[in-house]
Amino acid sequence: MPARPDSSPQTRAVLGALHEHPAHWRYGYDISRETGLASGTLYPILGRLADRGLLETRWEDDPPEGRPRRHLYRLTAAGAERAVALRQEPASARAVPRRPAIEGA
Amino acid sequence: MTAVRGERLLAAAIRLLPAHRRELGAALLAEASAVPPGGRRVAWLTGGLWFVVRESAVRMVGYGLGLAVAVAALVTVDRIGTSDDSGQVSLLVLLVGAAVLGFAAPRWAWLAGLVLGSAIAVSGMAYAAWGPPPTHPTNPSGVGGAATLFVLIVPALVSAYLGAGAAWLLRRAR
Repeated sequence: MPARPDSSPQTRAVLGALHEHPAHWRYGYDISRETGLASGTLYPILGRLADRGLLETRWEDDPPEGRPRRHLYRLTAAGAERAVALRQEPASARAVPRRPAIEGA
Repeated sequence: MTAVRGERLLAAAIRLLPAHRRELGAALLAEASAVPPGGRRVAWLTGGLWFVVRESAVRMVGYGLGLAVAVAALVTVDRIGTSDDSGQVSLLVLLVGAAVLGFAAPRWAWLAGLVLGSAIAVSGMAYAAWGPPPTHPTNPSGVGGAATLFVLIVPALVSAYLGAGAAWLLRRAR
């Protein structure tokens, strides 16, 4: 069991991906491709991070015609701090396997 | 499962999610259109269904356990009570249990009211039919007498909806 709820390899991967470009709003499939996480794993993590105030979310303002509005994600200041702190902590658990995501690599 | 069928299924399943997770469910569904069609999209939607099952199952199991504990506590208190005040104690347990469950899951307040409100009547009828003689006989006695206790559904429903109302007010205040 991880020492902290946000220190699982999967959560670290999500925080790491979002911290690559902290000012940019990212969308779910994009994060899934980068982390290799399936949607059923990724979205509960996004929900928990948002619950804990580490992630801010919003819906896309002007989606192109024919495509539904996307839900966008970005780290909050607290989330960015947490991502930095996690990066400095030794990864005790095994890293997320960089397998191709089943939704697309 | 085809992607189209998967999208329909997921759109329907999202309604089962707790309120604070429905937005994420909708986001996952909206994102499906960005996933390349075919196996990848089906896998994405399957993950979405797993997300719904996981998030709603946790809630349902938790609520079911809470309801079971409340019913067990209520029936036990009602059965072991021998004092003149035991009826009031049972009523207090009923009202508090229904209010707590209504607060915890406002949308299911009706279920808490119905189940808790009928628990004493059902246990009384079972005892009257098959069990040992009650410690404090009801008047009228027997199965018919115990059945009159279904009237407790009314205060249980009122209490459950008061709990649900409190939860709603608290959510608005936030």
